[in-house]
Amino acid sequence: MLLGFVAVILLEVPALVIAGRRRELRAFWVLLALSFLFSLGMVQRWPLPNPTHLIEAIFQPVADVLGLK
Amino acid sequence: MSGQKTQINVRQAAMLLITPVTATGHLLFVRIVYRYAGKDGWISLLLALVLGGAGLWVMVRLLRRHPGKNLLQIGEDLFGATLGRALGLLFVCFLLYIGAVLLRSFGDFMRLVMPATPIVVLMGVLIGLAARTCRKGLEVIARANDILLPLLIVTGATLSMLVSKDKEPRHLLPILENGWRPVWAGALSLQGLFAETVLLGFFGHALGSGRRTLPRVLWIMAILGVMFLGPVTGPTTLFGPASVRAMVYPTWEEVKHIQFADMIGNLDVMGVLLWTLGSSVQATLLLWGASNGTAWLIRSGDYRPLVTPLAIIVLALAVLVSDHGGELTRFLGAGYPLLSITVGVLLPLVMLVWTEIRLLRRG
Repeated sequence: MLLGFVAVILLEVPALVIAGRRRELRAFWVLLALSFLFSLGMVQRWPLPNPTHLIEAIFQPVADVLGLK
Repeated sequence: MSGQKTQINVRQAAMLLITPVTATGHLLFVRIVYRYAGKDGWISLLLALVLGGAGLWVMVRLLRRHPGKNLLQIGEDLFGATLGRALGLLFVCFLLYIGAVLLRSFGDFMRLVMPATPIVVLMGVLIGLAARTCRKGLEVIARANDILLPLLIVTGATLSMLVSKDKEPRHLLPILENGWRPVWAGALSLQGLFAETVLLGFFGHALGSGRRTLPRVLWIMAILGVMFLGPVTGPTTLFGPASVRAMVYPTWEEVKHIQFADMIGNLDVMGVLLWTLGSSVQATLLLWGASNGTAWLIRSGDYRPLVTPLAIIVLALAVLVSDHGGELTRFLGAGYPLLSITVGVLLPLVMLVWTEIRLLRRG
């Protein structure tokens, strides 16, 4: 996993640094950090929140009324 | 959107909408409509097309009212910078989430074909391919889809014809045996199909320009109707309504059943091919929409550096979205269609109504 992330960094970052695109670089680091955290959570089996549960909690009452079960 | 001028025409925009809807529908929603409406699934389909057509009309109409602008720009125009960006973030999260749901469903399906391969690998291959294509830009995706969609249609139609000799149309009778309620539930569940309408808000400028809105929407819905009529009737007429309800992938079972002239058989690999191609176009488009939306949110001129990290996020979410296969199937039939209606239809409808009110005020 770590090698994969290093490869992504090597592929993307040098071009962004050379072009001086700091805004894209910042966004890239933020998103990559987020994706790294998610991936690490998967590997380490952290109890990460399941977004489906949240969406179900919001919509299930309406689904029950409409007969969607 | 991200500063790059992307040009696709009306036909390509319509085709880019049809491919993902068809891929998701055949793979995921056919079984759900059978679960609710059984052999009356074709009536659910007709009702769903009317509802979905209304949603599509809202989106195309909204784009017509704001020529040359995407959904996120329209949101900011209407509601100001802060609220507009929040709305944009919601659309981006929605695209990432439905991308993850699609990817997980694809992985669950492929595990039937390759049970020894870890699901993360199966999903990783698809999202990796999608990320690679996504970086090439919308024109390349549209041109690839120009080749793939006719291939999907011709292959699907051929498979349907090969199995037609064994079909018994009487299995579709009596019509409405259990009344309208299951049919309505089936129609509502099929609204999950039209989640991808949101994508039109990113690439559908062409559909919103030129001639009138309604004929274009009707054309798209008619094509989708033709493409779904086979899958929502075929398995019932082939296996009978009771057997179909128990199937996880009814259309795949139908394809597996093909045995023609003692020569042509074992065509299930064609089903795998169809869904893999369709899902890859869909994953690419969703990733393209999410990365373009993110680029717009950070006011960046180039979405491409964001594609790979977002693809990894989608892959991680795909592992997260379901603890087991049954959970996702249940969700796809209940919460997902409502999420799809809320984000894909109601939010654009609010934006359209607000646009019309502003136009009226200005006289």
